[in-house]
Order: sequence, then C-alpha cells, then structure tokens
Amino acid sequence: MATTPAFNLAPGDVITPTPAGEKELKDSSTLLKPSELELLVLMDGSSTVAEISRRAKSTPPDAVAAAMGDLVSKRLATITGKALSGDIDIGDFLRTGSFYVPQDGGEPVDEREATDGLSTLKKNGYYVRIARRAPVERKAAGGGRLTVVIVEDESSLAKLLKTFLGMEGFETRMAANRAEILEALRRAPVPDLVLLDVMLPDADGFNILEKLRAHPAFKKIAVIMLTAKATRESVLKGLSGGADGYITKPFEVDVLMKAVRAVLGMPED
Amino acid sequence: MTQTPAVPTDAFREALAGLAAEYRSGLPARMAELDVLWAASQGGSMTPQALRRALHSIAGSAQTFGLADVTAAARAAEQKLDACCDANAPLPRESQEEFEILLKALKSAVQARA
Repeated sequence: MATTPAFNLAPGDVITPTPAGEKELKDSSTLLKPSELELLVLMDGSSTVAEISRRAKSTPPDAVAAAMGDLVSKRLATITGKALSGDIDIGDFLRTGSFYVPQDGGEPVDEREATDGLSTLKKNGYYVRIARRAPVERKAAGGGRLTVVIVEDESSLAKLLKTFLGMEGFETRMAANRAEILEALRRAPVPDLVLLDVMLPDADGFNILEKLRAHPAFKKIAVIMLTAKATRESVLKGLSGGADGYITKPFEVDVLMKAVRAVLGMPED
Repeated sequence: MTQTPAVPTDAFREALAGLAAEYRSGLPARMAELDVLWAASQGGSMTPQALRRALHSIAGSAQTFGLADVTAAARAAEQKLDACCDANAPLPRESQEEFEILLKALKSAVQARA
C-alpha cells in the first residue's frame, strides 16, 4: 500500500546520498534498514527516483518514493537535479511504481536505463563498509568465546584475520573452500559470525549466504561479506541476500573490527 | 566471554608487520604465476578466469598490507579481463597488448616495493 512520503519527490528527480548518507554506507556501523541501505546504494548520482524505483528489490514499488522521501527528510539523501522534462503526477508513480516517459527527442527511460543503469550497477570501484548494528548484544553459548568462521582463500588475509580476531578474544575457524566451510559450520557450537569472501575456488559466497539463510540452524548467524567484488550490483546482491554487512577489499583492520562489533551488537570501543 | 578485550596495539602492529613482510616476500612468486597463467591464456582458446582470480586476489589484499599501488595496478589488470571472463570468451587479440602493459605496470609496482 502506498504511504505518504515525508518529502514529496517527483519521478524525474535525480537523488543522491548526502555526506551523512555516504557515512551510513562507509562507517562500518549503521542502524538503517536493509531497504534504506539498498536505496542509498542505488543512488549513483545520475539515476532518477523512477529508475531507482524500478531497480529496488527490497521495497514494494509503490513505497519506494515514500522511502526515498524519508531519506531526504533525514538528510541522508538530497535532490541534485531533474532528468525528465515536464510535470509528472507523483500519484501515478505511487500507483504504478514505474514510468515510461520519453524525453523530447531522446530515448525512453526504459531504453536508457537498459544501458546506463546496468553499466552503473556493474561498474567496478564502488567501495562500501556497511555493517548493520544488531539491536541486542550476542552472547556466546555457555559464557564462552564468540566464534567467527573466516571464509577466505587468500592465505595472507586469512592469517591476518585469524591473528587480529584471536587478539580480540574471538574463537576462530578457518575455511578456504566448500568442504572446509561445511566442516567449520558443522562443529559445535554454532558460530556467531561468518566473514564471507565471495570468490572462492569452488564456491560462490552469495550462494553460501543463501544456503545459510535458508538453514534452520544457521539462519541467525551474523554474516559480513568481505570481498573484492566492488560493484553496486554485488553489494545489492549481498544485502538482499540477508548479509548483515558488506565490506569491500582491501580493508583496514580497525574498520573490520568496528563492523564485527556492530553486527554482534557489541559496544564500540 | 562476551566482552572482548581491547586489541593489544603494539602486539598487533608487530604481528601485522610480520605478515606484511611475509606478503611482500611472496609477491615475486605470484608475479611468476601470473606469467604462467597469462601464457596459458594467450593461445586464444582458453578464457583467462584463473588469471583474473589471481589478480583479484592481489587487488583485494595488497593494500591491507600497505601496498596501495600494487592493489591499484592489480585492479586495473583485473578489470581489463572482466568483460571477456564474464562473457566466457578469450581476451580479444586487440586487448592483449593493453593487458600486457597493465601486467608490466603491476610488476613494476611490485619491484618498487621489493
């Protein structure tokens, strides 16, 4: 059902994250909902409200404009231009959730998006440090140490993560391929967090995330995607797949630790 | 334990320095491996997936060990292979020379840090 936006946006408005919005995507600790994060990720500086609406998956089409209006009200996003000429009734947008508005002498929006939109989503070099802060601090079973599974096939990074997390008081289990992931997950206790690389020799991190979220025993494990897949498309795939965080490589260890604390609901240092 | 202790900064810095040195010392072997993978891809019948994976791995790790220039060079070379790998096709002949220039730039960046 359509909701009244806190800030009225026209479908042709180009909307962009403010510095505060960028901070939510890069500060390793956010309280924003996955759907709000998705919208911020989709704001590439040239896409309109209508285009973002078409690409968003976590929010029903008739609620996207309202959600973006809320982001503008919270000063996390701002209108930076208008891509379409003429006035368009926001009511049409809220009812249909999509537009087909040919520009004077130009390509219809749908055709333009087919090229520009996809290339924007696939463009490499989109760096984020997203970590959704858990509302409640996770407690280790039996008062023991919290367990982190490190899924990483780059041995130097795996060693670094093991060293760092060990120093921080976490129990760690290492996995560099599918068989090792299964072995690490099957051991008791059920891990509290998985740091999940995407490109593995014989497995795909997104596929593993999907399986974790579908498994009754593992679906509540916190997951941070830690990957060199630095495209909007990949970040969106991770967030919509249920990841609690998405950090693009290369990363700094203090940034990672902040994210770990956030998704486990631990206080910041 | 639910409240983890603060990182012992000096101990961690020392560990990080050791791991970074180990990483740097392994880079020449990784460059040699890239050469082998590139040679195997050049026949024209193979997609350079393994080569892209190797570059992806370097791009995603070098900067964490203080080698931002190596990450940048590896990333540029990796991106040159993205389109053909995504299309499951060999690197077009006209792009091979450009890739070799990027590979050479990566090796120079590694050599400068040796």
